[in-house]
Amino acid sequence: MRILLVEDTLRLAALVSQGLQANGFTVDSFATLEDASAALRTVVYQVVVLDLGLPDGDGFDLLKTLRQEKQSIPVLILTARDGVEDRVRGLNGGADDYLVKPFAMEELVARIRALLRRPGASLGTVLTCGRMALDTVSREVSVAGQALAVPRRETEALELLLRRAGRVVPKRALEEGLYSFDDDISSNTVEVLLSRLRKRLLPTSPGVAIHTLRGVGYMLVEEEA
Amino acid sequence: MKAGPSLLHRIVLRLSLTTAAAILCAYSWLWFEFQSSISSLREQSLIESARLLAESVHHDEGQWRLALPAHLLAPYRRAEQPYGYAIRDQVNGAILLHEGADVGPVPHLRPEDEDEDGVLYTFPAPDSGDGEMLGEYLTFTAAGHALGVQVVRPLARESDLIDTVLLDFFEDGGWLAAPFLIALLAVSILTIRGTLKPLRDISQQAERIGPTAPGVRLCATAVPHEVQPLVQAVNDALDRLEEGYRVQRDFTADAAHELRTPLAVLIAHIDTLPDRQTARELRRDLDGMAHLVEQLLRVARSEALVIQPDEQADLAEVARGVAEYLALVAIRAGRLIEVEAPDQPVRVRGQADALFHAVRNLVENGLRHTPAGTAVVITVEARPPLIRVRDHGPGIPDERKELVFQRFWRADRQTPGSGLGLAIVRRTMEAHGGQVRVQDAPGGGAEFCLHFVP
Repeated sequence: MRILLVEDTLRLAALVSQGLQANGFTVDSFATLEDASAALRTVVYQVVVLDLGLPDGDGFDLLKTLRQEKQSIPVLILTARDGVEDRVRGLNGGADDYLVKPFAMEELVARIRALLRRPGASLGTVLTCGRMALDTVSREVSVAGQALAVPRRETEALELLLRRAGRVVPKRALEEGLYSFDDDISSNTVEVLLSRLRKRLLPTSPGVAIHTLRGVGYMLVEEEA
Repeated sequence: MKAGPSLLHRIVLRLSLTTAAAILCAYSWLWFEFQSSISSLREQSLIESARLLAESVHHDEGQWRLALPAHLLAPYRRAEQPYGYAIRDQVNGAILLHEGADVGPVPHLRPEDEDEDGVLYTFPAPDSGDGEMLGEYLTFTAAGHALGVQVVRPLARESDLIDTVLLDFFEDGGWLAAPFLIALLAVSILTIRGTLKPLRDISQQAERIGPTAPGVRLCATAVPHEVQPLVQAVNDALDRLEEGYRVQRDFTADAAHELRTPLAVLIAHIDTLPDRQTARELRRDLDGMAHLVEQLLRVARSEALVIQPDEQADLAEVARGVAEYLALVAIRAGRLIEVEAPDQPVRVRGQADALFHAVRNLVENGLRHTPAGTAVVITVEARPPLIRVRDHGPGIPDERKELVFQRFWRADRQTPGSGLGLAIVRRTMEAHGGQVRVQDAPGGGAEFCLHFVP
């Protein structure tokens, strides 16, 4: 996974590069829009981490150029600005995520992983979290390398939760993702499905837990060591 | 503050006094004018009578006679009338003809009266002690003799006549002064009230000016132009105050903002330290500082918060947004977040981002106090629109229910938190025209309620 980091605070750029490298990413770091544009023309990156206030212009300009060239490469904006207008402008301008400084390295890594898991992002077909893995093509679920038989709908639910691991998946998103209009679902259909999935996973100690947040949705969280 | 004297009262009082004085002056003038006209009339008639007598004197068969019709002489012949005349010989002063009252002594023609051939004079009435007689002495020549005629009449009190005239005047039209005065006062009161109305209006405008709406200015166009300099001066003063206020607020926001990048460097540094144990401890301290910086920025933002008339926020979406945002933190801490909200949007006039941070502060607060294994519950109600945030902690003692909203107030220095969260919540609700209240939740714990205007 190769990441382009555009950040003009050199000390921060060095530390972020170091942190991302420690998490298995390859990082190219540039301090100006010009250098970053040149790098984008020659190297294929999987994610761009973009600061907004740069010495030779605004990060928004690079984002705009990328989107005008129909490049779907995920862009994460990393900035000290958190005005509502800035955030809305960034997301409307085609940014995929927005992280305000100061941030935890763990959070940045989690956000980049989430971007890589998105459909359309160039990534491997296997979703992993904790000791669990789900192959999105063969539909095989495994825990610590041991294959686990999981029914089709539960696998689909697991995929949705894995794609947004550490984030809430609204109940409605699960209902709409798992069932068609013709399916007869009641208010607790999803809850019943997920409690079956929990029971199935629990004995295998998968290193993840599925939490219910009543009135909000569900969240798959990697258990801390 | 002691109120100054009422403009209306002062004007009414002064106008009344002025009008009364004007009426007094008018009647006095009228009285004097009558008096002088009447005495002048009387003198004129006396002089005319003297002339008439002088012209009618003629010498006939050794006798001095008057060629006058009887009716013109009648006043002198009536016994009760104190009129009288006498024709004298100028040389020896002998009375040639005399009728009616005693004409008194012959007055001396003064040197300055040389051009005149007559003089007015007075003398005490011979019969009554206090009365005075007025006479005219006119010298003339008839049939070659130098003669003089004296005509007298009482110097009667003209006041009787004048009183009658004044009374007539009052009866005929003098009373017009009273309604005129009343009309004058009424017009003045109406004028003053009408003039002061814009001042009352701008007073109401001024009441709205405060930290939440520092941009409001008094409307100078409606007030009378005499007051406009004052309104302009007040507006200018407000401009200067707003500028000072803005500079201070911006400084806080800028300072907090500028601290973000160095904090990001520091956190990234710690996150990449090989010694994980030390790193974790450092991160805990640094997170507290980063949180404080964020809260300072939030305070500055909430101070500047102005809700535009067309801004709308969906309370249900705000509640779910906060729950999703804090879900991971809550679960990592062994707590849960629940939302009870209607499926339909609950729209209020408000700024979603500011409300998000207000509710976020309440939920973070609740997560700090609710025991492990319990949930912080966010409830949204549509009628009336409100958001409730309830925890299962020990609750807030009554004596602290007001203190918790003060800036930098903290129950103790051990639990994390900036002491700014609830102050931000209160300020945000003020900007929304709503309020935040805290009470004991049914079954224990604290319950914060954000009330919105429907």
